[in-house]
Amino acid sequence: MTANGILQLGLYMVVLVALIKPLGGYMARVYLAEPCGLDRILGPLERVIYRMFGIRPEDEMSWKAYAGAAILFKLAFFFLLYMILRIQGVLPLNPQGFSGVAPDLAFNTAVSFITNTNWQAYGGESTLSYLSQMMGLCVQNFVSAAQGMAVLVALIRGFTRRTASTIGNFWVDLTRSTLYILLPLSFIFAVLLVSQGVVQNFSPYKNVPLLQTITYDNPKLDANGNPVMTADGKPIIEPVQVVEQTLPMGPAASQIAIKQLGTNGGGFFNVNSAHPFENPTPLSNFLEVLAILLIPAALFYTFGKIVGDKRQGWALLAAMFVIFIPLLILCYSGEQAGNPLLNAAGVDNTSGNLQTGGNMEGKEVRFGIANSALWATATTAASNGSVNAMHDSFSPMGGLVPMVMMQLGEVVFGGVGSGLYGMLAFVIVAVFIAGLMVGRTPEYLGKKIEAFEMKMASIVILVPCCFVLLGTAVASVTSSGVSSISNPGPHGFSQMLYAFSSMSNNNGSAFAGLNANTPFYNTLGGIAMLFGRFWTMIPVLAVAGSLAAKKYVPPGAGTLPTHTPLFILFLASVVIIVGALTFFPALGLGPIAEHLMLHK
Amino acid sequence: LKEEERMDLIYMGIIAGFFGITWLLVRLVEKVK
Repeated sequence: MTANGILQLGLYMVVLVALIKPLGGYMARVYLAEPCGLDRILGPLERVIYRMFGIRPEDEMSWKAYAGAAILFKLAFFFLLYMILRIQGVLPLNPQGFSGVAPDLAFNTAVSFITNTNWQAYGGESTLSYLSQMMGLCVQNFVSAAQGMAVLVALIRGFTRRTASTIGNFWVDLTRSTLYILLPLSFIFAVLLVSQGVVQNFSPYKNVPLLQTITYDNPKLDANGNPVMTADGKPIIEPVQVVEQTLPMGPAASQIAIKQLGTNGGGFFNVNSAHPFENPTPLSNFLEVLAILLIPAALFYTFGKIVGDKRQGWALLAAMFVIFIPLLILCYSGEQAGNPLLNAAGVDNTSGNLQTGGNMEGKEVRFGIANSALWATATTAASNGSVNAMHDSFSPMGGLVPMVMMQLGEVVFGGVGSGLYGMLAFVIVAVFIAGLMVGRTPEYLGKKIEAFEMKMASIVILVPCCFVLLGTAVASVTSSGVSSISNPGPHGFSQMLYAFSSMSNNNGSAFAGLNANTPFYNTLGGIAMLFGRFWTMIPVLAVAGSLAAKKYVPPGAGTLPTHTPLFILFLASVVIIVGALTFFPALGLGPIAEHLMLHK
Repeated sequence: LKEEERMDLIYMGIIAGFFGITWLLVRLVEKVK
C-alpha cells in the first residue's frame, strides 16, 4: 500500500463520517414528519400525490397490509418494465433504433431492477433506448431504493411502538423517501456529475474521426460470415483500418446519481463507472464512491435518533466499520502486491513516481489501485454493484473481498434500508445468543426477543445463502452453467460463485468474464433475485409487526447493553462466523485455491 | 403462439407464481408463532 493511497482512503472515511450526522438527522426529521426544511417546497407536491392516488396518509397499516402493498407495488412495476423492454422498438426516444429486448433478458432485467439488484446481462449503450433507461430503469432506481427505506422505517417503528397493531403507511413512507430524500440528493449529485463531464442529452450516438488510425489483422469472411480458407486450410488474413469511433450519448448523469445514491448500481453504459462518460475524473469518482455509502451510513444515525438512543445507531455503524476496514485493507494490499508470476518474470511491479505498480489489469489509470479497491469494497458492502474496475481481473485475494462482502448478506452498510434491516436481523440473533450464553433475557431496545423473531431473523439470513450455494451448485454441474465461464479451474468456479452471490444478495455487480446473457443465467438468476429480495423483506415486516405489538420492557439489571464495544465486537463476530461457516468451503474451491496456485 | 410469445407467458407465469407463493407465505407466517 502506498502513502498516497492510504491518504485518499483516509480522506474518504473522514468525509463520509462527517456527513452521517447532518444527513441522518435530516432523514429522521423526514420520517418523524417534523419540519425538515424542504416542506414548504415539496409539501404541496406531496399532498397532490396523495390526492391523485387516493392515499390517506393518516391510515395506518398492519404488517400484512404493509407487505401486501409492497408486493402489489412491485408486481405492477414488473409488468410495466417488462412491457417497456419488450416493445421499446416501437416506442419513442430510441434514436439508435434498438429492437425489443428478448423475453429472457427482459425478465432478468425487470426482476433485477424491481429488486434493487441491477444485475445487468446486457450492455446499456448497445441494447436499450433512452426511454427504457429513463422511464423503465431510472424510475425503478428510485422506487426500489425507497421501498427498502420504507421497510426499514416500518421495522424501526416496530421497536418504538408499544402494544400497537400497525407499523405505518407504506405509500406515505415510499413517497416521503422518494420526494424528500432521494430526489433532492439525486438532483444535486447529477448537477455535480455534469460539471465533471458526465453526459446528459438525447442526441443520437456520434461518429467521430480517430486522432490516430488503428490497423489490425482480421480473417477474411465470405457472404455467410465464415472464414475464407487458403488451399492448405489456413484462414486468409486481411488488414482492417479503423478511422472513426462511435461515441454513445444519452441522459446518463441523472441516472448515475440515483444509481449510486440508491445503492442500485446499474450502469448507463456497459462498463459502468469505468466508462469515461459515466465517471470521467478523479473528483467524479470520489463523489460517486461517496454516494454509494452515504445514505446507508447515515441511516444508522437516523435509526438511533428515531429510537431515542443515538448510541445504538453509532454502535451498529461501528460494527460495520469493524468488518469493512480490514476487508478494504485486504483488497487494497492484494491489488497493490501485484501478480507474483510477473514479479518472477522480472516485470517491475513496484510503485513509484512514474507508475502505480501492483495489479493494474482491468483498472482505469485515472483512478489507480487505491480507488479501485475502495470502490470494489464499498460497492459490494453496500449492495450497490456498480464498478469502476473489472473485478474478474483482481488478484485472487482482491477478488475474494467483494465476494465475501456480498456473501455476508449485504449487511455491512448494505442497501439503502435493506442493509440496516438485514443487520438488525443479525442483531436479533446476536442478542438471543448472548442472552443464552450469559443467562440474560434476550431484549433489544426494550422489546423481548422471542422464538418468533428468531425464526424470522433466521429466514432473513439463510434465504440468500441458500440461493447462492444452490445456484452455484446447479451452474457447476450443468452444461448451460459451465459453458458461460471464460476461464477453466478455480477462476471459472469463482465466476459462477460471484454471479450467484451477486444476484441472490441483490448486489448486481459482475465479476465479468461470465457470459450471463443466456436463458439459463437469466432465468435462474432472476428467480434468485426475487427470493433474495422479497423473502427477506417479508420476514422483516413480520418482525416489525410482532415487535410493535409487544410491551416496552424498561432496562433492568438483567438487560444486555447493546451499545458497548463488547457488543459491537460480538455482533461483528456473529456476522463473520455465519458468513464464514456458510461460504468458506465454496471460497476454498474458488479464490483461495487460485491464490494458493499463484503462490505455490 | 410464436416462440417469443410462449416465453412471455412462461415468465409472466413465473412472476405470478412467485408473488402468489409469497403472499401465501405472508398469510401463513402468523401460524409460525
